Formats: sequence, C-alpha cells, structure tokens
Amino acid sequence: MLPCTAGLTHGDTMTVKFIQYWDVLSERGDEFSKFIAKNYIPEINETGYLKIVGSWHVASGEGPYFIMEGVADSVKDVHGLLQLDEFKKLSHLLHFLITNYKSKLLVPAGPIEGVVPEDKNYRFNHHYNVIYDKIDDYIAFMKDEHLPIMEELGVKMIGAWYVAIGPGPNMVVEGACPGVKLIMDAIGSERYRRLTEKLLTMVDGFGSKIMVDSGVLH
Amino acid sequence: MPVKLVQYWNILHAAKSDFDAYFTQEYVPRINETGFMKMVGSWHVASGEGPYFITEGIAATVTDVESLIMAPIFLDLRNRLLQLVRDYQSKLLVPVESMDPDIPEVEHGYKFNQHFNINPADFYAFLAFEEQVHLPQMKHFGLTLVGGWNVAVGATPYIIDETRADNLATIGEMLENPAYQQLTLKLLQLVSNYGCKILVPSGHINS
Repeated sequence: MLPCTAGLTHGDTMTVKFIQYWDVLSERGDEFSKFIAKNYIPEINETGYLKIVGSWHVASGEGPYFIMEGVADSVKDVHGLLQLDEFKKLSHLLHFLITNYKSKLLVPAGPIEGVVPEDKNYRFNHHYNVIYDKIDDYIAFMKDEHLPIMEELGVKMIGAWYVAIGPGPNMVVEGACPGVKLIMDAIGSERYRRLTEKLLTMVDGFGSKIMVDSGVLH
Repeated sequence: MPVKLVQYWNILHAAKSDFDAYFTQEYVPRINETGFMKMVGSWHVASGEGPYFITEGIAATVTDVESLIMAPIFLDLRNRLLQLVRDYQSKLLVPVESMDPDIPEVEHGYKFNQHFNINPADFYAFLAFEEQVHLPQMKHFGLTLVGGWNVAVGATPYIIDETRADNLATIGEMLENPAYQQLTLKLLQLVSNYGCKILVPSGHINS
C-alpha cells in the first residue's frame, strides 16, 4: 500500500471518510430537506466525531441519488459516532424519510495530496477493484500517468480511498472540478479514452460518477 | 416498431488489437449481412457503470432478433467474440408504446441514457410526467429524444430513456443546471433504481 496522504477539504487533514447514500422517499422531499439542514448535519457536527463536508446529487452514474460525505480523524471516531445514542436517534428519524440507504467507511490509499481548492465544486469519481496481481503496475500507473494526465485534463485528483467497510467496488478515486464542462471535455478526449483503456487492464468492476452539490450545506 | 439488441462487454487487455480487427472486419459486417439486424453504434461508457463497451443493433421485429440469435453464423461470431472479451451481457429493448424511436442508419453524437423502474403505484402519473414534463424539458436542455425503451429481456432496471446530444458540452450544461436537478428530483418521486450513463462513440462503427 502507498503512503497515506488524504486530507480532504479546504486544507483540513483528515484520515477517514464516512459516506452515506440514499434516495429520498416520494412526498417527503420538503420534510427531508428541513431535517437534514436543521437536525441531521448540525447535530452530527456537534458530536465532534465527524464533520459533514459535502452533500451531493449523482448527476451521472448509478444511484442512490443523494450522497453525504463526512470526514473524521480516525476509524475510532467514526465508531464513536455510530455508538452514540444521538446518532442512533438521528439515523432512526432519517429512515422515515429515505430509502436505499447504504454507507461506506473509506480509508486513504494515497498517493494523492488531497487538498480541495475552494472553486472545485463538482466531483468526477472512479470506482473499481484493482486486480490483485496487477497492483504494482496499478500503483505506478496511477502515480506516473493517471493522476498527472487527469490534472492536465482539468480534473484535480483529491483522494484515493479503500472501502474498508461497506459494499464494493473496493477503490474510490476522487476528482474535483470547477465545472461539469471540464469533465465533459476530459471524457470526450482521446487522452482520457487511452487512459481509461489502460486502467481497465488493471481493474475490474469499473464505473464512474459525476456529482453536483445538492445545496444542502449552504 | 423496431427493436434494439444491446450488447455489453469489457475487452480483454491482451486481445485489444485482435478485438478491434475482429469487431470491425467480421462481427459487425457479418451480422449486418444476415439481414436480421443492423449494427448502428458502438460506445464507451464515459460516465456510469460498466461494462465499458456497448454496441447496439436495430431489427425490424423481435422475430428478426430471434432468427439472428438462433442462426449458426451468429453463434459462431459470438463464440469468437467471447474469446476476446469478458463480462458479456445483452438486453433486448422494445419501444415504449407511446414513443416512436429515432433510429439513424448509423448513430452519431453522444448519448445520455437514464434507466429506472417505474413505481407501480405511480405508473399513470409517470406516463403523464414523461409526456408533459420530463421529455419536453430534456429537449429544452438541448438533447434530442432517441427513444423510450422497455427492457423485454435482460437485466433491469426495465425502462431506458435514451437521449442524444451533438456534443458533450450540451450534456455538461444540463447536468450543471439547477433546473435539471429539480427535474430529476421530480422523476425520482415516480421511479426507483435510477441511474444514468454518458456514452461516447468508440470509433468502431460511429465516430
């Protein structure tokens, strides 16, 4: 495994991510928005175990449609949150408003220096399983080709993560952009096609998502 | 009404150049020569879930597709294809009754496809929403409606709304537009298992 460096947002250095996914139940949209903004996010933040740093809609890719992203200093902190009665109550109330809930605990896989500039408000994430006997080739490829070329294409790579707990695929690589147009320019380019075809020789279960800010945090 | 046979796979790394030659020089022309189906497009999944390679063929009827898949030539072609690819799967799509698909001789542009299951209790509300709101709005964002399809055979979700754009910038502008997000949130009240894909031409049939 590569050295772990995965600070996540606006210069903070965090070590793990807790991601929650769901679809909002029909006719519960207004109630959901109020609950998330007034209770769920602030009360989780107040625990001090986890900070909610992003809430996203999946603009392209598979659902669930709503993704909430929290960061913590350690797996122990996430565990601490999950054990809290306050969180259990919040989670219980949330489930009256949503369906298709799932969560993942992500730990850094490096080698990305994950500082997200303020203007990078869109995400272009890849997920896959690295083929076991290609791991050395994969690490060299990511460092020497994938990350620099993606950045040249305008997609700043901000994190590489292993799914420690939760459904696979077991690797998530995050890219950030100031606009979807840059992502479109990248995915329409010959360089991206060649890069993806090379990546596909080392991974399986490949997929990607374009995520836009849901606006819940603002 | 025409029907569509969609085939998906990932290309085996070691076989990439063999695949390119086989697919363009044998698989596509031989299927076209049968007269049962015409291969009209091949795509890479630029955003969304794999498999990464998608190809689509159009037939006049389900009977034609049945004739194709039972033909010894197709069985031979597919067996040879399967030596060059992995994760092969296929779907047979039939048009949603109310929508005439737009089928070109050869595909062009880029695709933005949404797939989902309709909530059984919301079926009629969904039909009204599609006709009066969703599809007109997608056109308003600059996309052309290609077709609405039911997955007659193959993995669900069982509805696919297929749209086309002349360029990726049009799709990008739509995805950034808050009005598109609101539209999707309304759609999500009527459907489940929602997802979407952006497809770019692979260059084997259409470019």
